[in-house]
Amino acid sequence: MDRIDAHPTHLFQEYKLRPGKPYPFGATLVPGGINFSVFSRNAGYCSLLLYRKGEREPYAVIPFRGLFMKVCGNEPDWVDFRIGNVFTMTILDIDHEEIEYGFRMDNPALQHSEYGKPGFFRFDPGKTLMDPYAKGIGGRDEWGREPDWTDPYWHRSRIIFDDFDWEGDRPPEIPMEDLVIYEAHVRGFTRHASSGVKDFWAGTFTGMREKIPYLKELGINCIELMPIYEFDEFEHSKRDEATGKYVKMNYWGYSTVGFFAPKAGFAATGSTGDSSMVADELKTLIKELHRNGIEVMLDVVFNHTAEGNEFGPTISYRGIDNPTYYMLTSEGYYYNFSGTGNTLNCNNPIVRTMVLDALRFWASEYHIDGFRFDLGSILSRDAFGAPMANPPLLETLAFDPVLGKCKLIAEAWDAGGLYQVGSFPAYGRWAEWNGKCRDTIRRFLKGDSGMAGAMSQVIQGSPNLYAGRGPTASINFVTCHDGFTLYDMVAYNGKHNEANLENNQDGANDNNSWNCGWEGESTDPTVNALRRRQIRNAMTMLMVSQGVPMILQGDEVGSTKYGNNNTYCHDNELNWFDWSLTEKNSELLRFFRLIIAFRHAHPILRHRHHLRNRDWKNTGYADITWHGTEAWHADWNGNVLAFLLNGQYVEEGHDPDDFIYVAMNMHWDALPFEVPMLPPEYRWRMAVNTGMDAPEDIFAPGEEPLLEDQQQVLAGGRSVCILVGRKN
Amino acid sequence: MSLESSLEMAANGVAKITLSGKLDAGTAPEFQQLIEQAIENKAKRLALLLGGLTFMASAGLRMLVFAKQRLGSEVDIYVIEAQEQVVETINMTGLNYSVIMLDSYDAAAVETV
Amino acid sequence: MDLEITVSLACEGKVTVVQACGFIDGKTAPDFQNKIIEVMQEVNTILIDMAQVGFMSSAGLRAMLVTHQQAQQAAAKVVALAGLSENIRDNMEATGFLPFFQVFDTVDTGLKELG
Repeated sequence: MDRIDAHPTHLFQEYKLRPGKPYPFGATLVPGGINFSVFSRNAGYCSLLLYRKGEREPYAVIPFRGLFMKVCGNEPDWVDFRIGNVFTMTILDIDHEEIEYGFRMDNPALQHSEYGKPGFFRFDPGKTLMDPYAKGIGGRDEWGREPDWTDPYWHRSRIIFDDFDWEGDRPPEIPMEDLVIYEAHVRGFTRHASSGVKDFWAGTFTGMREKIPYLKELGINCIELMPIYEFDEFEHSKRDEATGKYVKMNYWGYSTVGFFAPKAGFAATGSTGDSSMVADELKTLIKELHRNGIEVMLDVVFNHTAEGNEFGPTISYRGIDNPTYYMLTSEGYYYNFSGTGNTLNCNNPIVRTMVLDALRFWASEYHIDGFRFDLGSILSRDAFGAPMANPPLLETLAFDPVLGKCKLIAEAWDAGGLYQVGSFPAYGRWAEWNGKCRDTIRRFLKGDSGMAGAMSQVIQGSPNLYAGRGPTASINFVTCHDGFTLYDMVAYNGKHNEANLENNQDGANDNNSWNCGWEGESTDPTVNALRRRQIRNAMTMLMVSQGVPMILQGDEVGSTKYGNNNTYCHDNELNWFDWSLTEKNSELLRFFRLIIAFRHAHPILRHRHHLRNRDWKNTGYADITWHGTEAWHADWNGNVLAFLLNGQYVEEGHDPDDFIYVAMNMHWDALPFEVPMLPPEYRWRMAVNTGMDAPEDIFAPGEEPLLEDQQQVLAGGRSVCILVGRKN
Repeated sequence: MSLESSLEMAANGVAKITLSGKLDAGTAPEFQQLIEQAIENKAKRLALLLGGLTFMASAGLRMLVFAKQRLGSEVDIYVIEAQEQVVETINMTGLNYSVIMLDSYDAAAVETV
Repeated sequence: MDLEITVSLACEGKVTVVQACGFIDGKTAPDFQNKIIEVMQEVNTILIDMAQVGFMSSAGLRAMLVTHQQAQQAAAKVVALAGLSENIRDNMEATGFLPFFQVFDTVDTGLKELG
């Protein structure tokens, strides 16, 4: 059946047009053609520009308001293809594969602001603007390929096919408490030659797909991808004039160009220039991860864009509707709560809609399972930067139907002084990166005194911060991309970021790290043995704590960045996963696999509700009890702590678990721990002892040897022991 | 500020309309009257001298469209010495394809019909 | 760029070889798809010779998949590919389109298997 709206109503030059539909925003394939829709509150005029892929100048400039020819009657007609503040038209008989498009916006009645000077409106009819809703973006199709700097239109909107055969894929919907999260960088994962993947795949979505068996074996069930939407790796890049190589690039990608398009440079198919293939490639990766029981979470950056401040490039948003998209001072300067130049005006109703559209888009079109919001506290600020008690955006996201089963995680601070760990507006849905957990574990690990109390909170999933919300509000971590790797945390007292060319001024100073007696690489076997032990200690403490654990890509093989705790700009070995370490540090990798397996095997570690420290089921033991070197007596002032979990207290839906006893000795010398007595018929087995060398450091579930002395366990200096109490 | 406008019928049927000030919804009818006069005088070409025009709103654009429609496709419309804001407005609506824009008055081009 | 399609029979009529020469993209994919489906009405086994295909866009990938889905619906039908260039093969692998098809290095090996 032929639709009425597959026929043009007007002609502009040879282009066949008709009034468009405002929804969805962006470019959409419709029967017979393409619908374009773009919003601007303050633009008076808008034109659509069409380019042949890669060409500098547009081959067509079609106004949304202007003098066209009517198809019926062949007479001129003044046309206004606009509904409210949305410019929208449909172009018929046009092939979307070969074109790139953009917009030109202007309001001649408003004062144009100058580059480098404050101002409210930044319309510039000389600029081509990328579509904020572009589902594919060209211009950086191959990572690191030098662009033509004189090209007037850098980041170019493209139109993609959105059909994809998911073959019945559905989000795994793994319960939050059962997640073990792996924070990964797509390029870094397989870019190193040692990855063994084909050159064409190295550093791409497909490269990551090749390594899924590794992830499965490691035992993680959720991968959190550092930014994968389109960003510009050349932003703030720096070239060494002598060698011609780039010594600094925007490698981590915390600077959004487009919220709806996957980064072409992360796709092996990016070089084809075909953005549909890029989308297909990412979807194929996600489909394969889901098939292997691994959820996918995206690190999303809605706090600022790549446009910077009044000295930054005009890519899209500022040229389309500057005061809508950005928080501006009363003089027209850009508020800078992100530390990067501008701040997205997230609680403005229009921007709020865009953020919601973007998240819904990733959840529905890419089957994404969750989102981690970078500098999340910005999302709670109003248009003037003031923190709100009830931020509309956060509330909207928490209650949105499409996002209803997505995990929502906030980095609960920003660069403007807001720190909301424990107080982020949650609406019962949001979880937080628990920075206090990180600091507590690190300090306890290095033997700081008086940390036992804080540790007991972390172990319980931080009820001091999240009472009423449960442990799953707490994302527990010791390391993430910001800061030291786990190995460096036990090998360096201070940061060494000289390679960042900022005089070692960048990066955090409060690392709470301890180098085990020597700064940097060491040949001393005692130092290295201690480091290996400390790494295992940190992971053990993380995995036995209530809450949701997250580990950093590379920590499982002891990756080092030589003390650089802020490698945002390095596209090199500093950031690339070295696969030879899986052999070299195979014992460490084995430990990680088994400690993660331990967590999966014991539901008692994965409560949805906070432990009560009481025996409310009358079993003879409270759900959790605290001990020291003496059973039933904890020393809250020292650097030694033990706890006992009662396996009867599993959540509904699980069979009763073992008793689990964990002794954490952060004192420098060995200490005997009196082990609590078990009910009759139960006996203690040794599951983990970081004081022993592999393979006695950890045993697979079911293979734990009986404890020789059922009343006592000797924990070596700076070691952690886990005992499981089981019937025979 | 309002609009100052005048019409001069020159040789060869060239109608010269000079506009100064602001062309918006309020002042557009004056422009419209001059166009209608030019048509009555059987204008074969319309030359708009816009050196003094500081602002053109969409109402002004509609007048250009009106002129185009009424005069017919064989009659060229010249837009001469338009200021930046006016040029932008004309370009953004694609009207630059329907009129001939000149930076300065080129008598040879304009007056030879 | 254009696309030329030639149909021939092999293996005593058991396998129909469809040879494609040129580019399979937004412009030529519809013809390609229609031709394969048309041929599929008469025969059960089709081997598409891709050795002369210089480029295949995402539109081409989709046209391929549609022919595969049609074959699946008709139960006994098979659509196989031969002679994929490394580049096209890599792109199909990356975008998840490859596993749907039986793939042979050359037409001859394909005919041996299917005939």
